[in-house]
Amino acid sequence: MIDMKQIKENVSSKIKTYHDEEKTESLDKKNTMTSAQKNAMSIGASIHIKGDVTGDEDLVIQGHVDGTINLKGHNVTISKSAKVKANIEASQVIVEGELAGDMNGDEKVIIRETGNVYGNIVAPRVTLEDGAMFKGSIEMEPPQAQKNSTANIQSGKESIDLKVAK
Amino acid sequence: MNSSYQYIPLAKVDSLNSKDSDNAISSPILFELLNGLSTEEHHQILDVMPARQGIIDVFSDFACKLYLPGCLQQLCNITSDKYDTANKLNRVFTKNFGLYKNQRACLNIIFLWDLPNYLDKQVMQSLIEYLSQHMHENIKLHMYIHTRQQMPSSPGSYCVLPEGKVGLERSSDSSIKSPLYFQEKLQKLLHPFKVKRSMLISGGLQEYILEL
Repeated sequence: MIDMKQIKENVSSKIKTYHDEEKTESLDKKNTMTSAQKNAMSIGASIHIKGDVTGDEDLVIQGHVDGTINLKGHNVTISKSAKVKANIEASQVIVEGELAGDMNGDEKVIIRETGNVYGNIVAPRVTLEDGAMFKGSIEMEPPQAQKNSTANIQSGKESIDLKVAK
Repeated sequence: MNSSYQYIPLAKVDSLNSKDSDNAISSPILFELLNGLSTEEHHQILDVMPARQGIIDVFSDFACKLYLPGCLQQLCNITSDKYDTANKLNRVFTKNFGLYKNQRACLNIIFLWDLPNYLDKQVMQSLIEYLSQHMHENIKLHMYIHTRQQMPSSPGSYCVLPEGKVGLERSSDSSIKSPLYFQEKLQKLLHPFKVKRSMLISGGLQEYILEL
């Protein structure tokens, strides 16, 4: 298993170089990045990772990842240049590049117009922009349905508690 | 509790497809189907069209699993073959459907749109046979059948719009001879499905909902 901190140490110099080049080459593109993406850990376009990626911060992938990505509670962005073959678990997943794998988004999954996804999605909200390519399945459970199921569980628990109390 | 159409969030679809509103057709049977869906049940839906936001929005208020294999063109390209049609279908769906990962798929709605008009009869029968392995007993099969002598040369692109309408976009202006499936012939081809309701709508289309 590959830890994010380990990746940081190993590829920090390459990423730094990439970021320097990126700054000079496309300032406009940089300006369009969200603040979350700016603060996120980045896997540069020249980086190839084979293995499991885990961590405790947001991640922007510009290179190649082959394995699994587990960043629960954080955001994963697959940039236009990225090619990812991995199952992803995160809070929010944004796909602008290529992804072959399943996505489990606690909050939402967004496939941008440049995105190309082959896999299955489980998320309460899914956005598929015009032009985006998607093949697979989408499993949604709206918050209301989740509430109902939680309420049912809780009411069931109450009745059990009451029986015990009696 | 049944959801009424008013609760289906279609604002995004409306704005995205406003350009298609000129080609909008009323589809009362489709909207009867959508309005009758329970928000308390889990639904499994197959849509053969390429994945679009519209269908996701329609079902976003329901606990559901949408199968979007985007295999419309591949299905149209399948030619009948006495020995190999089932294998060809299996290849298309295994590759795009994801059923190899989830053998418990239990579809309760299938949207075929106007695909049946373009399928070889043998392929259509094999398709129903293949899908029958993944159907719920209360399955609803929705489709449009062309009733005019000529029909567009390729299947249209359909998107659900508000107010009970469906946006229709044609990929080509050329036309071909229509197979002209009448109800009895259709039921024979789609055995064991039976027509529950049918209605002639605009554009020379006959809208059908079929059940087991």
